[in-house]
Amino acid sequence: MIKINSKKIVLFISLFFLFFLVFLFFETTNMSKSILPGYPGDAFFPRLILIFLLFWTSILLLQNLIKKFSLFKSSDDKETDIEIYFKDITFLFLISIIYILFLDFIGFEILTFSFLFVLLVNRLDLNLGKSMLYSSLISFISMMIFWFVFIIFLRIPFSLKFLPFLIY
Amino acid sequence: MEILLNLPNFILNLFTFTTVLIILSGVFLGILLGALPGFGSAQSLAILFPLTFVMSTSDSLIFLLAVYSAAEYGGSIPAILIKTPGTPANAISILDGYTMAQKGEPKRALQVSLISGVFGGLTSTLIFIVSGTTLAYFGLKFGPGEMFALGIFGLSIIGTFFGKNIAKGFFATGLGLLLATVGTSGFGGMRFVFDQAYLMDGIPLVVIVIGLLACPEAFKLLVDSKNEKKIDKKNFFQKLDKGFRLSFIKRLIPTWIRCSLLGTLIGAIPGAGAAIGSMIAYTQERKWSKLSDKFGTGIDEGIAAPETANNSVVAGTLIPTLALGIPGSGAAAILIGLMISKGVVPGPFLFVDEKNLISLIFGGLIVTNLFLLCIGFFATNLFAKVTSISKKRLGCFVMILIIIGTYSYSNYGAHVLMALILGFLGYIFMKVNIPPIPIVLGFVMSPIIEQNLNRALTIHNGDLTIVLFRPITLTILFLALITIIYGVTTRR
Repeated sequence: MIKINSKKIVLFISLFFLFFLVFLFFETTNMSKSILPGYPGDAFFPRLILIFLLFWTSILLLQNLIKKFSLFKSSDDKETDIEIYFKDITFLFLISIIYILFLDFIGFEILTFSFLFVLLVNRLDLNLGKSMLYSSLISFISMMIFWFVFIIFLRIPFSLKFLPFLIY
Repeated sequence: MEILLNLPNFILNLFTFTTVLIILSGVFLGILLGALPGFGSAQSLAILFPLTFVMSTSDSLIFLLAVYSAAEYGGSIPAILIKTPGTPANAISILDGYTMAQKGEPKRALQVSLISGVFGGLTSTLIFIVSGTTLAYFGLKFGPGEMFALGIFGLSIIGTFFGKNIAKGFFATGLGLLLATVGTSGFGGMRFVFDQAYLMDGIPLVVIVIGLLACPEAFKLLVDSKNEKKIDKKNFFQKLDKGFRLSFIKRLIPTWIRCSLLGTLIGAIPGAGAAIGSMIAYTQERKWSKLSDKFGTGIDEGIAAPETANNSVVAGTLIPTLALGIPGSGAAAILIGLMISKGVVPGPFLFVDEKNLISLIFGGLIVTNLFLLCIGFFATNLFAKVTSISKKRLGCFVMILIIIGTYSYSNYGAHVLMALILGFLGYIFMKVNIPPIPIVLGFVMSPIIEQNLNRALTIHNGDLTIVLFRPITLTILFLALITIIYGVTTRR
């Protein structure tokens, strides 16, 4: 877990976006020119948005850089220390990406069961043996429900290894 | 008028096996998801959005409307029983609802909330029928320049009133507008694609909706609630609690009428939403009521006022959403997105070209509220149990639903990755008070605004001054400026 001051995060976000928006603005020069009389071209609207965003991002940056800068600042938007659980979020990202990458090879059934099992096993507040048993049971039943809703009912073509695509 | 005359037929037509099943499941899932702490109507719609992929336009709209209406009521259940509002709009219901429950009458509190919500929902639907068609009639007289200005006006309200800091509200709105420009432009050119195949078709709405509304909530449930203590399962209801009695109706009718009108009016203002609606209804009712000094001590009026307004906002939000194509809330943005994905263009022409669909929406809202009354009344005990579900365990199911739901859209793994990245961004934004809903609203409104601007410019040979200085356009743009100035001065 990392504790960061909200002001620092907003400062980072505004700085990051400021550079990114400038880069995008240069990108608009590669967009198609107008082919129709009156039509302002593909870059016109994105440029308007980018100018709008650059203005508000600069305001955000100034609000967090200069203490006395109070333009558009609200009294109830207070500075706090924020806890971010990077490890847990990275783990969530990792298992989600594994799920998507291996869906075609391993199949919907095993992956859905495993995904739920991995997440549930630490969250049941039971001893390891019981926790494993209950998470397996819950994961299996949930996988069957998801299979029924998404594959049988909604006909989404997921890769299946042993359950059928149709039951009627 | 034609829509009004056809309404009874459409209501009767809704009673087919499939439609009844769709409404019933929408109401059931809506209450269930709404009752989960932290899950608002927008989040509930986001997570159930993939279920509409295989439904017809009318069925999917009715389903999402049922979820939307029911989730607004569902949010009051944890607010009343465990002092944890399901949605921000239900926070004010804690004052009298939770107090009444603590006095030993939780069933009465829940049923007052339910009946008030249904009254609000039905009344605002009737107002919606009249005002929606009238507004669309005026909308039909607007050209693309005026529609562009209306879009800007909508954005000014969204940016000003969403979130605690105006700069953050507008930053989020701008991000939404920008995200919508990714992919093919209306004239075939590519924008912000960076030679990546998965960006060529743009970012699908389902990815934005799930990524920014459902994903941060799943992260919060799984990660932030990791150290949550065990929840005691208790029996909320006692035999002495008789619930709602018919004698309450006469006393509560003035509150219901006042708050329905207030809720519908606030709902019709883009960006205002149910939270502001219920808050204003509570404070105003406290001024108007004869029992003003008893508010906060657990009285029926204290629950009825915010809950009536809260559900009235649903139909109120649909007024600008359907008649002008300006979504009033995150949930309305999802509804607009659904319509666009099914080939229906929201806006004044909807009331001319798709009269049947409009009648179906009106009828659907009425039937939904009647079903909500029945399900809510008889299944109070069941939904009360939802409040004891552990957040960290619930997060596991929300997470897998997000992955499966996003993947289902076009069986494309890149969409899941996009949703996860947006989810992480939304999660960080939520922590620093940058509201994610304006991103979704901006995303939905961006193509509408751009198309109208391009059309207006093409008509006037590219002269922006002619587009902007037409009397109605100028007035609307001036109103947008006033809105921002008002927001800046009142927030200090």
